[in-house]
Amino acid sequence: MNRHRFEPARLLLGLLLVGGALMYVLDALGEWRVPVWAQLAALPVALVLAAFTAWTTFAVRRRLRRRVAAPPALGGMPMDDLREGYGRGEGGPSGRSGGNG
Amino acid sequence: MCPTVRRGHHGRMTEDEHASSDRPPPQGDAATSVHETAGETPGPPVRKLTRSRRPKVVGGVCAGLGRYFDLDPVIFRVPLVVLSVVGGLGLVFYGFAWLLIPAEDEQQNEARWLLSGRVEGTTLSAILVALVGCGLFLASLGNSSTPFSLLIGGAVFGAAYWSHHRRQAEAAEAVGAPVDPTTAHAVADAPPEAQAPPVPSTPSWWREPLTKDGSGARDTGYLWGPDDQVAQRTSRRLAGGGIRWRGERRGRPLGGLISMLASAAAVIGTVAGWDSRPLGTSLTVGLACALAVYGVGLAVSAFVGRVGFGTIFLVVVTAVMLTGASLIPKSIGTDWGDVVWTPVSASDVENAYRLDAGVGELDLRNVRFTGARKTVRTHAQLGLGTLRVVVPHDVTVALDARVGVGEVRQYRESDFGGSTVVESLSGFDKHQRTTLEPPDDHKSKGTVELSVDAEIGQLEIVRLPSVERPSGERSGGEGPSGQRPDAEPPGSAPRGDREEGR
Repeated sequence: MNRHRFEPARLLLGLLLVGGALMYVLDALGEWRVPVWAQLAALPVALVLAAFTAWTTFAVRRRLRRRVAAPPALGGMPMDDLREGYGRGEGGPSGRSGGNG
Repeated sequence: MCPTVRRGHHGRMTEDEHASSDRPPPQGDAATSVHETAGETPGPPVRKLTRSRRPKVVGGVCAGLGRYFDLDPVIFRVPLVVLSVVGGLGLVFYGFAWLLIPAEDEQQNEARWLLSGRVEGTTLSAILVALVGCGLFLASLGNSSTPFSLLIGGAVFGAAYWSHHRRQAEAAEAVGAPVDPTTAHAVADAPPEAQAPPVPSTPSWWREPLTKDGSGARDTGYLWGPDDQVAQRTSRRLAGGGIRWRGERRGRPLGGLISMLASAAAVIGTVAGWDSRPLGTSLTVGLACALAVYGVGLAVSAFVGRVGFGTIFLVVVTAVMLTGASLIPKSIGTDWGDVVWTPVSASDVENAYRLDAGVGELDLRNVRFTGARKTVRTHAQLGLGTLRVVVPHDVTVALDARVGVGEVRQYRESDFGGSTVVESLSGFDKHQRTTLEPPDDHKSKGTVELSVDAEIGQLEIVRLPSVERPSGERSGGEGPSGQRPDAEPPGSAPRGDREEGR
């Protein structure tokens, strides 16, 4: 399987779930007394935290992407097509092929 | 739903033409051929009923229907809302349409996705809509709204069908085929519909061949610019590979594997301590194992593979079940069954009786309250189920009952078979401390001090009638049955009867 981009939200949710499961088991076996409200709140808190992490990751990545793509160095003019040569129109995105306006 | 509707309809029309082709034979043939070619070749292709992606409000069903029937989607939306509010039928229809009609850029519908194990948010909401609709519909069945709903539905369907039919008749007339006489009058002689200007597919002016005389027909004498093949290639790619399968983008789906492992972990964890631990603990351990497997799977999917909302959904379900299991009282064990305790004498009554789960009966009818043993003290503990305590008619019961969730009932049998509820107390975490005196015309011969601790269930105190009757009936009615011993001469034969009865 190929590795993909790191997703912190899933890692966080997974770790929280493992921790929650451990908490439940210890409580059931009598090793560790956990108050009932903590048991009830564990999963919603984990989900909310994971959702917040996912949102933060998305926002940060979008911001980075926008910053990278931000400076449009004199694009959009037919001259630029000329300047860069049409060869890249073959492999590039099809939108570039029409510098004809 | 039926992608070949249009073609099938053409087939029918051509058959009609053949049937009526005696009058104008040549024209009919020509029309037929034209028609068939028109049906096959590009034009507007066979229209398929799909859910619309772009103009959509909830699931795109109405927009898709409107596109399919050439109607304004509002014509579907308004009756749908009315039907949903009135009887829930609209929601039923919407949910199932959402499940069964594929979206326009996908080949399979949501029900298929569901069956193949990939549950996503849209599928869940479709199911939810259908479920809510079914509930509303069932709740309103007794109402008088059902005929009204059916009338509205029928009207909308009729309008859609009429519109569909009319468009087809118009199309046929445009081609030149004779119109079906029944629909001829339905076709309005309106001017042809305005159409969008054709998309310019030829190269723009500066790409025109320089030689205008036509001799150098396709010499692609562009001054500059890319070849046309680039555009062709992109369009072919769009047509062929346009359908993006789910999960293609972010690695292989892991959901099935994870849920399988989690189920196995749940079973193993539950079975491991089934005999030695109480029910709640076993279930909690098993479900926590499943949750841990889900957690590990999610952590792995942060790097490799992907999980969808289906897995998250299963995680939530597992966690809810886990919370429920952890709240099961620890006194409920896994040893379930029906027990009858029949002490023969006062000294035979044990100090404590204990039942994990099931139906228990403590039968004190044979206990003699004479002499020094005026008072019998006992304790009963019940995890889950029903505990029935049968006492003779002439005994005072000092009851100290604690019920977690459930009910305390006191019966007095007025007649055999039919029992009267004297008092009933039900609810959460009830604690009752009463003294039940024998009926008026009897003098108390003894006292039973009974303390009961029941987690979930029902505690019944049944007082036997004093009248002697032939045997055959039992105290509470529906409980574990046995022979009724004769009440008055106590301590004699009846115990053997009961043992056989069990």
